[in-house]
Amino acid sequence: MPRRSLALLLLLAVAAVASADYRESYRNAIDAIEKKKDWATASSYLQAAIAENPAEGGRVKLYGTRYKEYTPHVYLGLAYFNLGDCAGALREWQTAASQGVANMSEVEGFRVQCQASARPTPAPRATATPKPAVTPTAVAQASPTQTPAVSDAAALLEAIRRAENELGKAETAEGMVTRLRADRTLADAWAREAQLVRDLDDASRSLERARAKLRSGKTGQSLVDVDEAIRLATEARAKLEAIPQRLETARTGLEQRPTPTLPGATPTWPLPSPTPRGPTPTPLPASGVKVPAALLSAAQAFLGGDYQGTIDLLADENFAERRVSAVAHLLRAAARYVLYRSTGSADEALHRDAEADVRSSKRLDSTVVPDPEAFSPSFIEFFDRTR
Amino acid sequence: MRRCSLTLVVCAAAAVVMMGTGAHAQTNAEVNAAIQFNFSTPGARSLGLGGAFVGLADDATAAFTNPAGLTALSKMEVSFEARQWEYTNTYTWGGRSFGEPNPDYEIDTAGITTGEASDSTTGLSFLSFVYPREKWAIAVYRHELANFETRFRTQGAYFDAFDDLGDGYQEYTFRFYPVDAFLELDIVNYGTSAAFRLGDNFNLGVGVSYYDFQLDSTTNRYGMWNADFPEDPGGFWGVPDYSASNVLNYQEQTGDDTDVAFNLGFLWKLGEKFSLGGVYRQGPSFSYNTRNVAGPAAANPGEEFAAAEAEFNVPDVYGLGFAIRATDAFTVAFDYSHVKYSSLTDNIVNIFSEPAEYPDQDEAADRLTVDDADELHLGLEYVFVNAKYPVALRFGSWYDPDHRVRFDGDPGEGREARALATSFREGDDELHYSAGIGFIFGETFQLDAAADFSDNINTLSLSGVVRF
Repeated sequence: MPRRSLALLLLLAVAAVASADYRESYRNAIDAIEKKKDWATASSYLQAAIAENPAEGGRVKLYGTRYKEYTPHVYLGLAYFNLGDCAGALREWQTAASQGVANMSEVEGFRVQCQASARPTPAPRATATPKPAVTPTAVAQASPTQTPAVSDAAALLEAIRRAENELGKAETAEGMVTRLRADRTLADAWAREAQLVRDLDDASRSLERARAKLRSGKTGQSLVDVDEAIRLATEARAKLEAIPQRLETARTGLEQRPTPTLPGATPTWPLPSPTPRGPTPTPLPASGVKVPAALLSAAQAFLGGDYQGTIDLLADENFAERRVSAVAHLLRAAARYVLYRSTGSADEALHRDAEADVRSSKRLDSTVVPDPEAFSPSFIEFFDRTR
Repeated sequence: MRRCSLTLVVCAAAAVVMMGTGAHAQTNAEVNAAIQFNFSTPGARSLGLGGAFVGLADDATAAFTNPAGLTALSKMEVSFEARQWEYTNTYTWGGRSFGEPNPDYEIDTAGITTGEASDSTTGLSFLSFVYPREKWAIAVYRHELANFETRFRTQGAYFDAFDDLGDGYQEYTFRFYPVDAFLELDIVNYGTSAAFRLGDNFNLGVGVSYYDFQLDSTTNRYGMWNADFPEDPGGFWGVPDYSASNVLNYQEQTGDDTDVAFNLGFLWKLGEKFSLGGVYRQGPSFSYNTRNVAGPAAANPGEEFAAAEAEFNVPDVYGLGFAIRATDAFTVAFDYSHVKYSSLTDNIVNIFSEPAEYPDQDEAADRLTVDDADELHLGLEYVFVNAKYPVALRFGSWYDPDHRVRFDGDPGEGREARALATSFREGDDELHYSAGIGFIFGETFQLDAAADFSDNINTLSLSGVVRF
């Protein structure tokens, strides 16, 4: 009889299971902060939590009986601050304050620092200046005598953020072009335009130098070095993003010649081949698959940084082939996500549309996933997270 | 049927029987049968959940219960717990187990009379520190595995049995010597555990424990003389004479030993709401000394009849648990545990006589047994999350199968087997009910209280957690 009573209680309890929500994202964000101080990961999770529930308030269970106030804007501001984005931090804290978050004492000091950095810069007074709060990579390594004034530090942090952002975009483009370089079907086009190879090599070298300058800029807190890193990365990115269009022009020129040795009369995949990461990947069409012109144009727009153009080009397209359609949704999701992030994660509609695209892509062909060499880590994480 | 008369010869024979009747557990001293292990999981929260914590394992007490769960923590934690245990021990007090009562004597009544002794202990039962990192966590802790004491007296039950006491194989009436017994047992576990996150959802935990064992027990047996007036106090048909000068013999069990044992656990998150845990806890084994010595009422006080070294085997435990986090406020946990109580009766030592000195005693002792237990635990937790200070209410229940040492099978007509069958009787399965409450003061401090009730053990617990 006791066993029967226990079983009955268990059944009653199981029946009470409810649905999941934004809480898991918030839990993951706090976990990333407390265990790793991984502000970038925390930022992604917090944005996801805010997308589902932007209203601060209530408590979220972390583990056991440990509960935390649901204040995602406060923590997102903290993440931005630690990533060197004072403007973003102030914006999030303002949002939190406007929602009536009572206890912001945890970030009050940081908020004051950010506000100070936004004012006209007084002459640096190293001995009287509080140490700025910190990105793990930048100021943490500084000796006390090197500590810059708040405004200097803020400028440096902002420059580092820009440099990392520019480097990330350039590296994405480099990955894309590298894949095109390896595509056998484009070998003739590469051979015809030897300058393309030289540009690729030049861009790669510039990127390497940009990375080195950024490292030295962080270590020595040198704004000059960081600015140089930005310049080099921008230059490399421009060269890299021009290559696909020039390559396409070269390939099209080859097509128009009546040479029977060319690989085909229709474009082959200039897009990064989706890399299957699932347990049973479907072999992808590495070559010889006909790519609709609209998708090709959209991909080129994406590579060229024209994200709105990418979205517009794919707006009315309806591809018959499921796999092609899945890639189109993936591309449009990436474009929308970049726009969402670049506008300060404020446009919730854009975020929802990006999620819808990801879901559509997965539904159409679950083996189509973003290639880490072609898409940013944050988008890949967004893609993985979206169900 | 010949009923024995109260003669010196019969009394002497009866005395020998009684020396052999107290067989239990690692020795055949009846006081051992009452020992209770604290296999309930540490922490007031866990106690309130009916001990269902293997599949949940999401606070510092996981260091002992299922170390794999330590990876859930993201802040350093210190936790502590104080417990009070109230034990009700039952034992054979008097009456009669075999044969018809003698109507001439009021003390000889039909059926066995069961005695109850209540004792309580209090202690700092758990103390731990957890240091979590991204993919691993370590913990050090102190846990009282057993904190038990009991004291009781028996009147001495009667029983009829066949034996050859020098005048041929025939039936006699025997009486157990009255006893006055006490036992104190402490087993403290100083442990360290480590947990590792293997992938996003699977965690593995391992722990090593250094156990410190202390045992102190004495059982005094009182003589039955007064052949001329057997109904008077101290007589064969009279109430016992518990005076110190009437101690016929006494049995001592003393131990101070240590051992090292390990535990293993896993915790598998099945999505956001479900988790499955498993654990194996090895039971340590200790050595202790036993003696049987003649008392002041014996002809040769101080003479040592027997001395031996015995082993105290703490049972191994296998556990499997399942937890459901239905919402942030509501949690359900269910555990199944298999406790290897049968190891308690491995290699029983006869405390009363040297090996093979009384083969009938040895043979009867070999028939003492204890069943392994399959425990079922269920716990429910509801937290009023959005109160100013969240309050948690917990309820639980668990099924505790009988695991007393008992005589196995039909004792037949021989006196040694009948004697053991009289003292080692089956108990009842028990259902425990528990309830608890917790107060959560921000993120840094939590206070929990709980109580667990059953027929034989009540446990009260107060525990706290400090995070920093």
